[in-house]
Formats: sequence, structure tokens, C-alpha cells
Amino acid sequence: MTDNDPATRRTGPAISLRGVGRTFGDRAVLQGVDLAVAQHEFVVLVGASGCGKSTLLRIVAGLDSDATGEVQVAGEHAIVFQDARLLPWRPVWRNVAFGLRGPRAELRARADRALAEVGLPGRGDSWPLTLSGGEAQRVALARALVRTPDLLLLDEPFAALDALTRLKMQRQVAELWRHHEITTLMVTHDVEEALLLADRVLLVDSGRIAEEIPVGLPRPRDPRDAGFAALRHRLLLSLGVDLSGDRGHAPTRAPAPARTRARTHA
Amino acid sequence: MTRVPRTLRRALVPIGLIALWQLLAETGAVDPRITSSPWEIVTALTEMTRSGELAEHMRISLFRAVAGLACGATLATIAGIAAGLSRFGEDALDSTIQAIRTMPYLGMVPLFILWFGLGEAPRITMVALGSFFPVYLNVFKGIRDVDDRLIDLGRGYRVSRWELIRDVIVPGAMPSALVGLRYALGTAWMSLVVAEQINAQSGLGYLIVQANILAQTSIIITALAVYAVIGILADAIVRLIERRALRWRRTFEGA
Ligand SMILES: Nc1ncnc2c1ncn2[C@@H]1O[C@H](COP(=O)(O)OP(=O)(O)O)[C@@H](O)[C@H]1O
Ligand SMILES: [Mg+2]
Repeated sequence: MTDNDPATRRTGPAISLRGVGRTFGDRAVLQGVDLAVAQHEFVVLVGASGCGKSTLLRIVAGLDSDATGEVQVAGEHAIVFQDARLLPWRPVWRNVAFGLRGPRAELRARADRALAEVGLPGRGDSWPLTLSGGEAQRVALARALVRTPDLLLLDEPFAALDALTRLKMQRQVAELWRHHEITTLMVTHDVEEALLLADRVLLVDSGRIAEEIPVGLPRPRDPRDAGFAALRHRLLLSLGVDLSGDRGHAPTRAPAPARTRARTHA
Repeated sequence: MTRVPRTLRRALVPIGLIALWQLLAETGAVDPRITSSPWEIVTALTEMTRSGELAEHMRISLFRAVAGLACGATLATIAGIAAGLSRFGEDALDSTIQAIRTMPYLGMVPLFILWFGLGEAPRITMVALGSFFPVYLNVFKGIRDVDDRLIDLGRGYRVSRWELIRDVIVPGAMPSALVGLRYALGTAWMSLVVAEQINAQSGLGYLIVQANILAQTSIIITALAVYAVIGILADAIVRLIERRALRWRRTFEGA
């Protein structure tokens, strides 16, 4: 259902979901999801683990043929899965160039450049099984970035990274998004990361998009900023974490399995 | 332990056994008319090598083995890929192949002679059949065992069906397929011995039958030893292929 018409590509929404649902067995993981992402928008999905974020991303990527409802995606997309998902029998650079066509030398050069961008210069000839979790995830990121897609789908792409590398990679994605007008839909469980990058944070709960939090802060953003802290507080509250009482300062990460508390939906 | 070279360590037990055997023959503990001593076997081997007799029989046996194996393994790979890649292929092929597999094909030699005559065909067919099943089964299983998340990856990056087969399915099935090939070497070789013992005028199996009639145990054991050496060499070649084709793996090498 990819709409490749150049006219809609520039004017219409990048992603448009209407009444999207998905059941596994008799369990409805998603039901009646409506989502519109504008061109060049950065949208972040947050929510408790198991709430259907990955499922939603797969539907947008056109990988779930059993989903119901209306799905429209404009332009070419590239996805970074929650697991790095590298082909163990292809060297790293081949993984980065996976599915690309062209002369070998040219593909190699492109792959090497993408690897350097994610902080893995000179690792093109390594075997994937020799990489650490964070390195593998960065290769997966390079594999998506090397094809400069119109739409980037990221499923917790920085989860396995150490704090320093995560900061670098976040900056990398932010830069790419800014310069190449790439629409981005990202899943994360890191509240701070969501607020650093997103135009809009969407909270997934009970099979639908339960809350929408626009992040109107100017970029580049600073977590020490008062506006940032207020938004973080609000987002954490929505995720079921109340920090107003006992603790002096908020942690950077929300506990992954969150809330069962009833809440009015926005 | 590490001071003794690995190859020497591996050879230690066989060499010891041969020495023991020679010792038993010297002391008369084993009857020389039933079992020749290692030394007699070496003598027989030298003689047969000098006369060119051994080389000729070996050549013809090798030809049969290679021809049969090539036919069997190729057909098995094609069938395994066809059945592995599609449900349609599986439904069309798998039950038939499984049914044929349950038949003791070594007992089918008389039929093959009836069908294919007295030339090389029935023997090569036997070898082909012997190598077909292990390769087929392991190619099929290898394909079906490919991680479906990687298939998903291929679809996510919109690669063509051909690229999916070349970059994901074939390399993913390779470890299993090579195990199948190693098994096939064994069964092919075994089928050949049986085939050559029935209605053949040449080959190592024929040599064994002739020697049996004349009660020349040294020749029987020489022929068996040659079978074994060729078997070991063939296995070493596949292991070499394995090491090259599967060097991406990180596996337990034994402590
Ligand atoms: N292929 C599948 N078969 C059965 N259940 C699935 C499958 N994929 C996901 N689920 C279930 O759907 C729910 C949502 O999964 P997922 O989208 O991965 O959650 P998350 O928000 O953590 O990414 C989970 O409870 C998971 O067990
Ligand atoms: Mg997930």
C-alpha cells in the first residue's frame, strides 16, 4: 500500500493509518489506531512493553499482512528492528549494503561511509557475530541510513548502547532528520530521548494511541531546561510514574513495565 | 597436552592398534589364514601398486563414486530447495521421497540391473540413491530452519525473491546442507562397495569378492583400507569447504 506518486509524496501525509487493528489469537493487541504523520515530522511512540509498539511499526513497514484497517505510507522507508537482525554470514559492509544495487566498489564506499557515521569506521570486514550488541545495533542503523529513505522507522534503536554512544547516535539521527527531511517514526522507552528528538510523543496504551504530547521546545534541546523538565514530568505521569513526592530529581529513564492505573485519554 | 601436536595426538590410537595387531599376528594369536598381519597387507599393497592393478580398480571406483555422488547430490539439492522454498514443492515431492526412502535401496540392485542393464548405470544409480537422501533431508531442513526474522528483514528491505534466496536462504541452509553432504559421502561409498560386489568386473568391491574366493585376506583388507583412506580424504575435503563457507560462525571447538 505504498503510495509512490511524487505529488502525494510532497504534499500528503507521510503516514496515514485509519482504524488499524491487529489480533494475535483472540488477543487484540491493536484496535482502532488512527495515526497521521506529516512529511518531515519526527514522531516518537512510547508505552509499556508489550503494548504493541513494535507491532504498529511493522504494520507501517508493510510487514504485517494480517493487520486490518487502512494503511498509507508515502515514499521509500527503511526500518531498524528492535533486534539488530544482521545476516551473520555476510560481512558487516555487505549487511549495510543489503538490498542495494550497483558496482561492488561503489557499494563498499557507501557502506564504509555509513559505518563511519555511526562510529564504526574500518569495521566493514568484521563478521556480525563478533560484534557487541551496541555495535550490531549501530550497523543496523547504518543499514537504514545508507539508503537515505523518505521515512525512517526505528524500533528502540539505541537500547543496547552505552550512554555516551547513545548520545552520539541520537545526535546523528537528529542531524540526518534535519538535513535530509526524513520523516521519522521511532519507538523508545527512554523518556528523555523521546523529548530530545520528537516533534510529537504518542503514548500507546490499551491497543490505541492514548495520548498525544506535542513537544514545542526549540532545538537543540537541553534536558536541564525548565520546559523540558515539565514535559518529562508530564510524560512520566502519563506513563504511570509519579515523581512529585519522594524523590529529589527525575531519573532519565522510565521503568519499562509501567502502569495499570486508569486514566482519561486525550 | 598442548606440547604434542594435534595430528600426532589424533594418530596415536590407530597407530597403537596397528602395532598391537602386528604383535598378535607375530605371536600367532590370530590365524594368518583368516586375518593377515599389517606387514602382509603392506606387502600386498606394494605389489598391487607396482603392477598398477590397484590404481586401475581405484580409478574405476572413484569414477563411479564421483559420478553417482554428483548426480545424487545435485538432484537432491534441487529437490530439497524446491520442497524447502514452497509449500507446493513440499506437497509435490516430500511424501514421495519419504516413501522411497523407507525402501532398502541396497536390496534393489537386482532391479537396477534389470532396468539399466549390466553397464555402469546400475552401480552409479546405487551411489546416487545412497547420496540423495542425506543431502535432500538436510537441505530441506536447513531451509526450513532459517530464522524467519531474517526473511522478514529481506521483506522489510524489499529485496527480490532471488536476492532473498541468494543472500538469506542459501547461506542460512548451508551448515545443514554440508552436514548432509558429509553423510552422503559415507552412504555413497558404502553403496558403492555393495554395488561392486554384485555383478562387477572391476573396482575395489570386485577386488574384495575375487580375493574372497581365493581366500586372500591381505587383499581384502588392503581394499578395505583403500576405501577407508579415500573416505577420510573425501571427508577432509568437505570439512575444508565447511571451514571456508562457514567461517562466519562462532562455535564451540571443543575444550
Ligand atoms: N507474532 C506474534 N505472535 C503472537 N503474539 C505476538 C506476536 N508479535 C507480538 N505479539 C504480542 O503482541 C504484543 C505486543 O507486542 P510488541 O508490539 O512487540 O510490543 P512492544 O510494545 O513491546 O513493542 C505482545 O504481547 C506480544 O506478545
Ligand atoms: Mg517492541
